[in-house]
Amino acid sequence: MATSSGSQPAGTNLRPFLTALQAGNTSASYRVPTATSFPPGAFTLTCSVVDVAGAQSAASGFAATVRPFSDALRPFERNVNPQQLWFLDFTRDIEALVASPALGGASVSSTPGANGRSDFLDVLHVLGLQHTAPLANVTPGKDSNQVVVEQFQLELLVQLAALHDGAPIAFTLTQPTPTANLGAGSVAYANAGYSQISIAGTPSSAGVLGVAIFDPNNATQNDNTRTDFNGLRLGVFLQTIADVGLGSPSMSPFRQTFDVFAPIAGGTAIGANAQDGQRLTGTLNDGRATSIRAAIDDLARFTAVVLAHECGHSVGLVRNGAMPQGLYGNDTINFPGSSDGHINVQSQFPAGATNVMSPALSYSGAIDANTGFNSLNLAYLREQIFYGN
Amino acid sequence: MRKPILLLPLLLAAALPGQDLRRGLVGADAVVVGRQIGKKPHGDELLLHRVQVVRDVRGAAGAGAITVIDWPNLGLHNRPQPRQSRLYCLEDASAVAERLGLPSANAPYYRMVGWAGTNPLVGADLDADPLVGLATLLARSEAGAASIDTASGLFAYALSPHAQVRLEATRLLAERPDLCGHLQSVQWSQLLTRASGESADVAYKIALAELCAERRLDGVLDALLVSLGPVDAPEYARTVGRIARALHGEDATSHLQARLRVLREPRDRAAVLLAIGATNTESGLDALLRLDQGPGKDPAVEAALREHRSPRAKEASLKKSGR
Repeated sequence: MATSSGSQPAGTNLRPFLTALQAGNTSASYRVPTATSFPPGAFTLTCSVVDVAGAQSAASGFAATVRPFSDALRPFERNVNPQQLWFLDFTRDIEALVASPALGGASVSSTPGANGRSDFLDVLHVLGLQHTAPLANVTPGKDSNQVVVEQFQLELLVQLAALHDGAPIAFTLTQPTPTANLGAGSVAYANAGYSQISIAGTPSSAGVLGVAIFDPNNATQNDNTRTDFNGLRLGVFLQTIADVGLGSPSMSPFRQTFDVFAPIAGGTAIGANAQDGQRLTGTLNDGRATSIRAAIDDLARFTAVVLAHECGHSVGLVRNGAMPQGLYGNDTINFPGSSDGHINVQSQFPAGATNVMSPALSYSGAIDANTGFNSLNLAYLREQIFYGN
Repeated sequence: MRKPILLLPLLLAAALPGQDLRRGLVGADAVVVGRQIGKKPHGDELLLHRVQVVRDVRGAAGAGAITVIDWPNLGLHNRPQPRQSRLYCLEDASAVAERLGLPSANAPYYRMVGWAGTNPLVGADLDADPLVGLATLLARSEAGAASIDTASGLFAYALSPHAQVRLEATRLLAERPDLCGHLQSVQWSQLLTRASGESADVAYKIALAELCAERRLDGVLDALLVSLGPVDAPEYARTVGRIARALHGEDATSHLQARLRVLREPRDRAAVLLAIGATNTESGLDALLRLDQGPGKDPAVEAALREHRSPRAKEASLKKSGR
């Protein structure tokens, strides 16, 4: 193997070529420095401890394989694009959403057919984040509805950036040009400059928050805006959270956040109060202003986590199986509760928070500040590890 | 194209993964205990699982076997697993089958619902399995059983030792005020006692707290406050703060402060302060800002201020952290 002192044969004590991070009487840890690298192929690291009297422990072995970091295995394509760009598409309009009273709360249902307003905005209207008669010129040229959407989208981008810290992924609200022809859903990087995903209303099946193409090794650009991908809608579906969230019980975090605005719950929609403009611009900071801020921020955070999850699938997370084949997706032995393409590592997160690529996300878990990608998933996104050998 | 699609199901309430079984049991077209006994491909895109119906809980019309359509190139959460007895919550897929031209000899056709946790393993003794018991109770309710019987059954399951079943039953009661009306005061007392005393299963404790608060039981906040501190999970403190505001509005802070005065342990104090922050009330903010006036940093107060959503709280929090 290569070291700062030249090539070393098998059996060499590597300790002089490692960087000691910490070494004490009970534990020690070392880092492999850049100058030290293992040769391609299979090898076994063995470790034993020698005490001051010279007594040596039994050796412990760790078998590993070194493979080249090829373009095919590399999580992100870098020859055509410096980073992967995701266009967030809010324009889908294939239905009309309406809230109606239900036992102990409300339900949100849809009727097929475009209504001239995007399904995303339909959801915001149901939640009371939009008003049918918005306040004009809250900021120059923008009414209260536009300002709410602007603040939501800004916070969404902030949250997505934080979740993908260090990863070569960017998100945009503006459709890039030239417009990509994403064909049947996935095309080579040379033929499209970006991937895209819809933030929309109702899923194909009840209870689903998002559906995305799984793209092992992130081999292609992906189109998660399709409405009939082998019979399924792709994208992020906010009707699901609006429907379940506005239901009983009223003590839920969602109801406590949105009941104050949702007309179906007796709330006053943002923009229906004459002073909401001042609240949106921060010149009036009362209790309602706090509630407005919390509603916009929480929905943006929740949407960001679901988007990160879905886009995570489309960049290759979480491949089934142990490394080097996968990243422990569906490994129910070591990570009980995992499922196909997902990993449950609840114990690695503080109480209340969760891994973005968990098999299921709760509303309260998603908005928890400690929710994020687990370290292995994040390492993949940062191209510090890869899979598929 | 062989591109799996992955579905993300919703889990609305707190923190135990895979807990939406009740939604699947209630919303499915059919619920069966089944065992996958074979599968065969239909073209490149479909897999047809033959599932032996071990018990038709409801909706399968007594069929001895059914076909569950699977999309092998899609990474669906719920997919028949070979040779395992599981509870299946199924959606009618006859229209899909017809559109896809599937052979009528294999009918009836279903697909699995998307809710998380709706395909759990069940034990060999179905009559003793609590998951099958819960499914059966809800099936009887669907078939017209008296609400009082359903409520009574859910109450029993809500106090069951089986973690998943008790959580599902508790959450379902909280979602069904019509059923809650059938519970007797002594039963509410038992639920409240459990809400107060539970210390290990935080998700269950929160579900019980929300259930009791939803019913606005006398003394519910005091009962929940007793364990705030000994149970220091942030989500429980947030729940108590949220409930305090829902029940008492701006007075929530004074209730929480009263508890604060009798606490000595820093851990207990921190939990109550976090709950004050989670009330998101003006009174809570004022109380926290008063505590924040000292020259030094108090991590518990800072955490509580971070929990509060107002600009003033954020400003104070940033000021203390020197940013």
